[in-house]
Amino acid sequence: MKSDEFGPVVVSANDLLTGNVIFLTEKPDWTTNIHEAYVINDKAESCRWLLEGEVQQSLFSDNLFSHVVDPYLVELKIDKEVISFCAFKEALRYYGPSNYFHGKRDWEIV
Amino acid sequence: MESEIGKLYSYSGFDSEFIKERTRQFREQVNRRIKGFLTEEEFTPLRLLNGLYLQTHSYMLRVAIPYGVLNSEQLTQLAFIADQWDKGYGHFTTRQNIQFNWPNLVDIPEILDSLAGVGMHAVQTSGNTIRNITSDPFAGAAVDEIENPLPYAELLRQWSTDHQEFQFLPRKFKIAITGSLNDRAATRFHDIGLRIMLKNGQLGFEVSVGGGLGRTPVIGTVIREFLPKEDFLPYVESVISVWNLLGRRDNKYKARIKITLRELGSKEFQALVEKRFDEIRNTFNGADSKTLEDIKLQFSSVQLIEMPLGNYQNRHKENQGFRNWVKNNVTEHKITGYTIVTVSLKTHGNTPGDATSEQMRMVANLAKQYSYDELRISKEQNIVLPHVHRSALFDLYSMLLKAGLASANVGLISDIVACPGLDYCKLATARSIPLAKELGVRFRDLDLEQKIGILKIKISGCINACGHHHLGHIGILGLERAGKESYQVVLGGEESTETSNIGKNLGPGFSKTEIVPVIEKLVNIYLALRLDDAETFLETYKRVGITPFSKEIYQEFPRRKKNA
Amino acid sequence: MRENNCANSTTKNKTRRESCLIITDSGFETEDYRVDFIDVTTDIVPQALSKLRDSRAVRINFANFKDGRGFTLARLFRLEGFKGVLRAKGDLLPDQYSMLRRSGFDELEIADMVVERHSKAAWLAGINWHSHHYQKRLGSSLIREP
Repeated sequence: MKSDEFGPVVVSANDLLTGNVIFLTEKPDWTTNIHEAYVINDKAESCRWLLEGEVQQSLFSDNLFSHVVDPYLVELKIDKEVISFCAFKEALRYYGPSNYFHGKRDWEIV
Repeated sequence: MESEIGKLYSYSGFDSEFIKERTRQFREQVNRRIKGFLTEEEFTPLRLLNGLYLQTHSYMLRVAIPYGVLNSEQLTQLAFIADQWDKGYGHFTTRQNIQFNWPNLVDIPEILDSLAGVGMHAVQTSGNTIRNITSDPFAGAAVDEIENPLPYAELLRQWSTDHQEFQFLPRKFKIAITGSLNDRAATRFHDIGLRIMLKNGQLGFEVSVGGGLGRTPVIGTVIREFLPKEDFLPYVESVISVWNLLGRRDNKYKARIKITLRELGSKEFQALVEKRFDEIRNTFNGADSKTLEDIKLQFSSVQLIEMPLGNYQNRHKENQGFRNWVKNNVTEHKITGYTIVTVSLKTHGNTPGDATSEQMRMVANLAKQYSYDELRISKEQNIVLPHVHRSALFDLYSMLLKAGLASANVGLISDIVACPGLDYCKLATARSIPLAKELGVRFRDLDLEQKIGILKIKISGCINACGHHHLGHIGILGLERAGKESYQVVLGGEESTETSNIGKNLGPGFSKTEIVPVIEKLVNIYLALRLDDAETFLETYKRVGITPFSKEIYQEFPRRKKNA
Repeated sequence: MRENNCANSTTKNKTRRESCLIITDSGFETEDYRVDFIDVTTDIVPQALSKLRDSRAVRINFANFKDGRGFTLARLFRLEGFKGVLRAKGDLLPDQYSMLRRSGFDELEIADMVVERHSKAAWLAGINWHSHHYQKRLGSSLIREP
């Protein structure tokens, strides 16, 4: 990340029960759909939201919020409302493996 | 004439009870995690000790196939698990295990129960502990075998399982054992490598320590030329005991025993091991030797029956596809008339090491019918049927052909070893599988495979080197450069008894679109340079060195300075 | 890989009451201070530890639950002939109690908060540590049965 500009970023994690890739929403809740994720454009705010994710990871209760593993920030590119990932690795993480079509996402092998 | 071979170890009541208890414990651990009694930090090492990773898209369960040996019932059960809890396939690994990529956390205890039902488990396939013991996939069948290493491997399995001192080691610990002159287990690239030796009629082991690949590839150092077989277990325990106290815990990249050995000096390390060995040797009261004898009996013997060759010679003469398959995939057996068959899981264009549940069931049935119910998984990610009579080869071949498993490419350029890479693995920096698939298809289309001959390509998706790229005649290492995949090439790696070499870096890396043409170019350079058809890629490389390869490659694929 | 640029983003609670429980095969006890323990850490070299072999009570302090050195130290110390009380101290997991006992420890001293957090039932499950024990079966163990 360059120091003068920041974001856009989202908070991502894995779901404890399924391992699924999940994103933090504005509510705050978790979603598997990147389009529902809360997009952050400010560094201080990103820290606050990451902290929110981490707090949820360490909650000890039966509520759904505690089923979150290893939250971190993912950088995005947003061009005319089309969302893409800055790192290839993050795109692959979101869309699923490229050797089989598992039908998890609309994904064509690049 | 009838000849005996060792048969499979079958679980004792003790083993079964242990696994049942262990699964019960893990079920509790999962419950404690879900209810929040365990934090993720606490749960992680516990789940890893039971083979469970949280990967990129999902959980991944790595099931142990101890020393790579299984029977048809077990393989059939793996197929059942693939259908029930995965997406209908499994991935055989370079450490002779199988991985399932799509289970949910709450399903794991049930999967472990169904494994326990056929005497299998996922214990210690991960974590900072003694991992699944690996061995020669031809054990018990190889022509060059001094003694079958499998009973020793099973003894190691029992001893290392839930070992109270060694569940929280500085880092993972891998042991490989071979009983043959020709080392098919790459023992010199393990934390401990054990080679069975004969000395003055006495059986024992040569012990090497501190070998490994990863970010610091090292060939193991022999610290005991000859260890009498009775001292086998206390000596292995001494090595790990010394390292458990000295291994670095401040930096995980410096925690492996190879670094301890380097920092301390191998002489000093060896002295400490010998001293510890003197201390603990007498605490072994002989029960280990007695257990070994019991295990040898458990590997109950089977009589291989002498049979006529039947129509083998005619088929071999008539059918070129069969002839090719026999040439590349079939190895001599220690008993005349029998052979060792390697079933290639490298069908051109497929994911290396993957088998569908249907294929698993099919091969399981073939093993039952033709190979005395025995199967092996090799570190080259293929399946081995160790005891097939030559007269059955054509029928076997025909059945494999129907299942799409008759690729006659063992040891050839499309018999590619590849880790799961970025497609599945959280640690990876680039994909391995698409490269393997593209290379397989490319060389099939060029129809050059048989002409090229023996050429081993090994691909890793990160510096941890699960794809053993350092040991490939051509090795490919996937990295990340500015968010994109980038591939480095190493040449001349090999692992054999006489010579072990770590591959040498060709130079700056290549993009995803360049790498397949680069490999094709390397092969063409070799074909132009080789003295005759019999000279392999590795032999040519050793004769001419790396320069003729690098010079031509970078002429055709010049690097911009920025990329270098 | 996942380095965040946010400072102090961890939420671990480092303050803790000092009150501890002792876990043995008979359950939970509060500290009775009947014996004075000699404290050592898991950094100690085996030769230094062996000098304490005639002591009445030694307490090995684990740095954290991933610190597996204590298990080997205990085994070597018992091998040296130590007959006294050997106690482990540190934030270990209930699942490690059996490893402690099998390695030669008698008991574990641990903050009562940590005991509570894991639930007492989880700790009590470890008391059955002597069954399903491969190493004992192979004779590579010095463990005294209860």
